[in-house]
Amino acid sequence: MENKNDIKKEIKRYILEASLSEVKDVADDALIFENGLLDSMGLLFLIEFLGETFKVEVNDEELNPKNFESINNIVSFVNNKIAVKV
Amino acid sequence: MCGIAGFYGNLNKEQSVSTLQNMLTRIKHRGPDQSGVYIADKVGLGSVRLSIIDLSSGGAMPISNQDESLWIVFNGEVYNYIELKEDLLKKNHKFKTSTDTEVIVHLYEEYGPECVKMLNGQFAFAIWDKTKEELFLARDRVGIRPLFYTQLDGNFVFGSEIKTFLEYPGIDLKFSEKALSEYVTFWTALPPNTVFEDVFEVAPGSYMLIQPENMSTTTYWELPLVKPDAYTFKNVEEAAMAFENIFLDSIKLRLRADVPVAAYLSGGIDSSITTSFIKQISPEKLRTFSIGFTEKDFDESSYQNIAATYFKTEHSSVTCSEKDISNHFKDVIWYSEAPLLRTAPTPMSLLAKSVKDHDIKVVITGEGADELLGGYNIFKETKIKHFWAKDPNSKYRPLLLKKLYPYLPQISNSSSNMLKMFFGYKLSETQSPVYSHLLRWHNTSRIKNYFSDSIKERIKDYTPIENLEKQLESKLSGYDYLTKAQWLEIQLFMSGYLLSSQGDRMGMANSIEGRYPFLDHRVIEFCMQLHPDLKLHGLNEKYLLKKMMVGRLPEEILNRSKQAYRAPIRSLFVSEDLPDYLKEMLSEACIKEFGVFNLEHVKTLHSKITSNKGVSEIDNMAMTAILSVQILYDLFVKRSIPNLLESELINLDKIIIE
Repeated sequence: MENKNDIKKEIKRYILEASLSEVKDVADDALIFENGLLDSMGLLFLIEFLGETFKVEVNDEELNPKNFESINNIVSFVNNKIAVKV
Repeated sequence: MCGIAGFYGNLNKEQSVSTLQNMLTRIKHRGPDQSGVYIADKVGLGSVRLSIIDLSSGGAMPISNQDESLWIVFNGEVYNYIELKEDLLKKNHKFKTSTDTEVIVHLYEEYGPECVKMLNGQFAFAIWDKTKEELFLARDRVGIRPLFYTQLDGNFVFGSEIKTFLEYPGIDLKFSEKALSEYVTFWTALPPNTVFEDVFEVAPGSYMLIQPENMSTTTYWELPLVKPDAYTFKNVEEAAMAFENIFLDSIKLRLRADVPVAAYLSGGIDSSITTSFIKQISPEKLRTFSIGFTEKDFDESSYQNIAATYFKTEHSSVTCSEKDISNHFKDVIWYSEAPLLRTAPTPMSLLAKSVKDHDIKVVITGEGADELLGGYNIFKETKIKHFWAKDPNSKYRPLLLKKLYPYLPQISNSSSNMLKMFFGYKLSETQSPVYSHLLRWHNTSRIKNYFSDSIKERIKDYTPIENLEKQLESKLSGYDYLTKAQWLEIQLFMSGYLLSSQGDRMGMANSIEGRYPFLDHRVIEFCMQLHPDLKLHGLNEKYLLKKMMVGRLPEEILNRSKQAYRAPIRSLFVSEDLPDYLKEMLSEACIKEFGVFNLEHVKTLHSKITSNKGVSEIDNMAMTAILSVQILYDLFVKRSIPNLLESELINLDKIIIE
């Protein structure tokens, strides 16, 4: 199992690549959708990415801003899911 | 229909003739039938003409008033010229031709600049007043016909298309980076900007007066807006009857021509209505034209056939394939002279070509109905979001959005949480004058990420959406949700994209004139006075039209759900058999040389689209935008175009030198 830092690194790398942004422009607590780094389609692809990379399934009820609004929120969401699975 | 060009400045007369001849040659597609110039000490006017009214050589331009103190070059049609002429005859004006062009110049003599308010039509023209040494330029109310201008060393230069400027000595075009940023947000630049620095359009509904020491622009017409307490009709039957009277007259006027008039038949309700009214006025034979797609998702052939059979028209159809789109893309950019985010102009160009191949010059089409009568999904989306914003935590209200995009599975299969993530952007900002378009523009503007670092740095403080929001704050305050959204669609998108890149430029590239009965200013003014529920009834779009046409259109067409006109865009520009020119434009060397885009980002996008994994609508738009901007740079900035050859130059049939 990947450790917490690796998970964050991977998620951040994905978001930087998908949004064509510079590291300095994306803080861990930046609001990804509100700031337009990703749009709604971007969210779908992000979910696909989480599934492929961390084997994390996202249910409909879990699709809310609390889980997805920033890198920090996504990381803790993924960590919680992995913890539950283990 | 025609093309015009000219200048006001200090050229010697000999140079003036050849400069004008070259400028006009660049737009000879707009008027293959006849051409002419007027040259005086400080001015040159020229036109290439597609003869539609008064086919005799007497109709040749430039044309003057009786004492030859005013000279005009004119692009377009003034449909009410017969009535205007009667009035002028009573006032003792003497005419030499039976053209609408001559009527305008006499009208100007009689009434001055404000005469434009009397014109019903689609036009762009220039009048030189010899006595006052004034140049007058005017453009129709909604910008159906184009007119651009620029200045160089105190000289004023104008033309129907920007490519005329390539032939004026000393003009070098370069991109306006702010306008590029506007294009990848709004799909158009904000008037009067164009994608080129210091090149402007005469904005729709305005005229300019250029005097020796002064230059002024006046707005003579604006989209009339009505506040909720002043809507004129509450009852759909009465409104439909009143609409029908105006619309019938609009069609009658647009059938005035000395050549046969044909019609487009898209399979949708709008062009079926125009066709129905044409048949009502002149039941004889009518030619109709349509375009289908090899890709089934976009093809509407079955509906086109239903309409053609119902109206018993002599119908011709052409089919557009993916390959057609990439093969014609360079030409489409040459004619559109603007960045494109969609490939939809290409099929419109093929359609116009098929009309030309049948020796037809004029077609009537249904543009404007969606804008005026609530046809677009963005209007419904706005209505739903207003409703939802009153109870943002409602689980059910956002579900209405699923109805809008049945062809996008990721939306139609979504839960309400998901829809919140999709559509919830600035949900509560219902007071914003641009509320309806905030989400769309915000998403589209992500294409800016592809700009090169240096461009990004230079435009980092320019925020087109916020700027526009501020500009419109007081103007649009107090109007209903639909009026505000309509204003944006009509003032920005319709004129800046639909009527130009999909309209005039694609038609004229093939010497075809489109006529738009829904865009008669009386029809526009009528529709803008209606209660929004008469246009968008619940979520039933174009309610008034549907009520009016009950029993007069095939059921399948009357009741079909709205299909947006879209051409295929997915991965068209990444296939192996892409034309060499397009490959070159996307090559590392060209991306680096032109300096507009970030090479690494373009590569990433290319491989993402090639692998067809996680490709979004915005990715496809970005690809189209990048390619179109690269081509624009190559053709207009770098000028990788052959010089005009002596043998290509137009013959000037009429030369008047003062």
